[in-house]
Amino acid sequence: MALLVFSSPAWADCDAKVSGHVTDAASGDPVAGARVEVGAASAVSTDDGLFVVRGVCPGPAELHVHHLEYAGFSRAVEVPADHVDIALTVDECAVVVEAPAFSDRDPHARTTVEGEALERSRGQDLGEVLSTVPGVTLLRTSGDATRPMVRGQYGRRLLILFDGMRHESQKWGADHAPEVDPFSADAISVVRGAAGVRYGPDAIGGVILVDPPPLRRDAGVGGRVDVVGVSNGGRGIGAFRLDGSDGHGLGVRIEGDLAKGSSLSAPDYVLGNTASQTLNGAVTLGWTRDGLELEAGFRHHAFDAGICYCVRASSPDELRAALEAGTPPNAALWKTDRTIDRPRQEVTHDLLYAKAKAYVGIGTLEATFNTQLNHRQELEQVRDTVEGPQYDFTLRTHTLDVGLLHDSVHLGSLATLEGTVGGVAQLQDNLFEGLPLVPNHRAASAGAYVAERLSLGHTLVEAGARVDHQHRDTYLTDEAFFRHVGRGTLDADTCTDTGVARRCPGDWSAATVTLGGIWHDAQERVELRLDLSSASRFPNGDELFLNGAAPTQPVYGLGDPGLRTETTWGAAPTLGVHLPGVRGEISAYGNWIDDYIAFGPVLGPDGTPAVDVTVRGSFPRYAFTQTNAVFAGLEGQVEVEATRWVTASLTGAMVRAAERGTGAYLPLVPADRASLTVRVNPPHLGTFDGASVGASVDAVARQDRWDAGTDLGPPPDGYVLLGASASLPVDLDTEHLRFGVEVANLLNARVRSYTSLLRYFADDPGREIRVRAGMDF
Amino acid sequence: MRPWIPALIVLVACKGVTEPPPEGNDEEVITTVELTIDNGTPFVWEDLELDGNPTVDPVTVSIGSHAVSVRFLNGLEDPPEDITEEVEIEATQHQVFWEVPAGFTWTTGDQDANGLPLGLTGTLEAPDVASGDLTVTLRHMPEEGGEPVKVAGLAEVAATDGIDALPGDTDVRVTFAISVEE
Repeated sequence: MALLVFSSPAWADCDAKVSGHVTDAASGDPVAGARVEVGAASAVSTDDGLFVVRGVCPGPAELHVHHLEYAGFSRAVEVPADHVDIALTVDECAVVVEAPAFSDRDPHARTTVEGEALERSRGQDLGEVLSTVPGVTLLRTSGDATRPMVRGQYGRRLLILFDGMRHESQKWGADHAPEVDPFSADAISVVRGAAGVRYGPDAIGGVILVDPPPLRRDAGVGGRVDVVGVSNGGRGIGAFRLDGSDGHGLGVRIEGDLAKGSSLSAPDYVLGNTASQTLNGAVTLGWTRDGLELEAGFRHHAFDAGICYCVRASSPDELRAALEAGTPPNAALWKTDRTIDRPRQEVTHDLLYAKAKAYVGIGTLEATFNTQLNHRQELEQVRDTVEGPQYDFTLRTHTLDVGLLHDSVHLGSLATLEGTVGGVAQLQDNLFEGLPLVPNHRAASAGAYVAERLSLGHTLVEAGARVDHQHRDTYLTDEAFFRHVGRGTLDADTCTDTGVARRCPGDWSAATVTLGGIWHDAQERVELRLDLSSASRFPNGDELFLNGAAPTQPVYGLGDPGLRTETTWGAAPTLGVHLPGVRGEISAYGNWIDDYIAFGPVLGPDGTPAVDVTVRGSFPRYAFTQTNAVFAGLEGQVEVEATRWVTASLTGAMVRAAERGTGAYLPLVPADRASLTVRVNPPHLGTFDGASVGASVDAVARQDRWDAGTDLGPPPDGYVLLGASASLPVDLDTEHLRFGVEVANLLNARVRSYTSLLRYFADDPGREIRVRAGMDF
Repeated sequence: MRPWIPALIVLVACKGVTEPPPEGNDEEVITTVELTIDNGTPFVWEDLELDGNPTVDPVTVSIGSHAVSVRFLNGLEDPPEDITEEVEIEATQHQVFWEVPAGFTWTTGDQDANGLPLGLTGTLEAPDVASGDLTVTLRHMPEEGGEPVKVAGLAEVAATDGIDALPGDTDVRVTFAISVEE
């Protein structure tokens, strides 16, 4: 979390401080970006709602708090003062925004889904929750799961942080959804653009920050319960969170949720075998005393889902035949069914962590250790004599993360320097059983970074640098080793024979930098941001050593053990406007990716596509190669308060991607899209204050920029979908009740989206009515 | 679903990355296809390295009618595992499709328990001197949602719309060069 302090000149005898916490009076959530003034000194609250005003003269003083969305707040304080808790109430006249357009003082384009917007998405998975954020596209897998794409990047080019910890999962599979529980979050932020310095490797397209609410600090017990029913697939979802505290620094949280659904339905047929079940559970313990904060937790996620019978990818011809058929051949046989049949995925993810945070004289030191175990089993349709999974992968990761957020340094009368230095060490093992796809490996990585921010009144400048290194030993079976040597993809001398396996070592390094700035006018009506950042990622095991039938694509895939580190260089200006009744943000970006790792067809000596003959037929040969690519685009959101009651929100995004030099289009780049939402919020309903109804139109163009050489079928047509929603909060004395209904694809239109793995085989799921009820207590 | 406590134990009791993966018998590998014609020495299509680079015996037959059978083997096992037996046991979910060069005719000689063609054996009628490609496809068609998808008339579907119009998945699709000698 970024801490940022604006401070006035520190007078010789005015060196006291006032610190505390700003929260939303209604929800209790932390409020970021509130300006807290004490005398001539001031500070802005962080993402956690924390503020520290330094350079204050001791004695009685008046404290004022300003925030654009909240009513002003004043109280008397006796300086110095700690633990000043400030609860702000929403300013009725302020524009209510779905997701705050203004960043938390980050030069990146950044959107946070929280509060009412997050409530409306309850019961959806991470990809669906974020699909309303400009620049984010939903990638639908071949079952009941989605994954987010940011600026056309997903999987290994997108980093997910859960509570500040890197989510380490098997990103290499196109249909591997992130194992993250949106119920655990009270804010999910999308940082768009390369962000390697602050977040580490893989932050090529951006970073998704999933942040749980802080542990309870007041004595007592509270929590929430949510129940959601979804028409399509007959899904039922139940979730709870219980928070308790002794009021003396001890906080405990127990939470969990279970979702169970049967097969989804497209408008004209059931998508056979798309039933799923998701289970999440977590325990968190926290302890705070005398400036020391300790926290430990354990989380378990289990996901069991069928893969649509309609996915038939035995050969390129079969895929084309499925595309031409329009309706899947056996669709008439498929029923809405809770049974999860083969083919299916069974995935578990466990996270065990401990955190410590303390003030150490020069700043705040934070250390986190976490262990993650990601276990994935893929069960194919096989003869009855074969039991168990055909693919079985375990990814074990241990990460130590240490960072020091140093005290702000006042440079002269106007400038304040703030920053973080830190280091990360990680050990990761990949193990497989069954059919080989990604070989066993052990990777040891280390990174070190420094990032500093200079505040100059209305201007903020950020600069940082980071280095990372990874050593990876890959352990190949003899069969895999000789297959590579025979193909000429591996030099036999680079590996050593350990007696039981062939150890093939490799080293990769990355250096990333960031330079950014924010400027806003005195009234904070216009904000300009510029982000110049780079990010890197190291090649994955499959990119290095794949040799055989590729997953989810009917091709014969070949890895390349000689792949180098991939690096993106990004430039992104963002303009934010915050006028009475109008609020908006627009970002442009260009990402130049050097050594972009692409998976594409290989040409034979005569210039025609190379073909490999396997026992299951002839497959085009695809290989991982490195090229240079460029991704560029625009995305934005404008919210207009038409009247006191009615707000309209327009979002849009476009991405252009091509190989540099040849201009060849890259696959799976989202088509241009725009979305209009109109919401009516009648004011002053007393107990029902905050009720709203809304309607939306989503329009998606056809992706005309595609290359027949890298995509096996033409993109589907563009489409327009209608949606509707209503929410009704009920404030009782001690409880807060929330009711809502959301309808997606209201007219049950038949569509196929370009960023869906189902699109070659079947239509997207049809109309979905989601009814939710929740209670805070 | 994995219970929580075993998951915790796995965190502690680690398997080794440096060792070869345990022998899995959950795989379903076919490396070898054997064509036997008139009880002669089989013609073999084999890719023991699974590297997309098979060895294929050219098939030669004389003019006239021949009894043909096919076997599917996993040659990575010692002795080789005969997958044909599993196909016979689950005959109602399998069918072998034969594509023969122009002038040849194929007649399937066996049936499953439902009276539908199986295709592990049959009769190949060779015309005058000719040559071309003989393609053998083993299609696995497991039930979907409890309903059988192997139904009557699939050989005709394959002949008119191609193999890819069939339900299920391709387990084997190999091509032999066949020629007729006098």
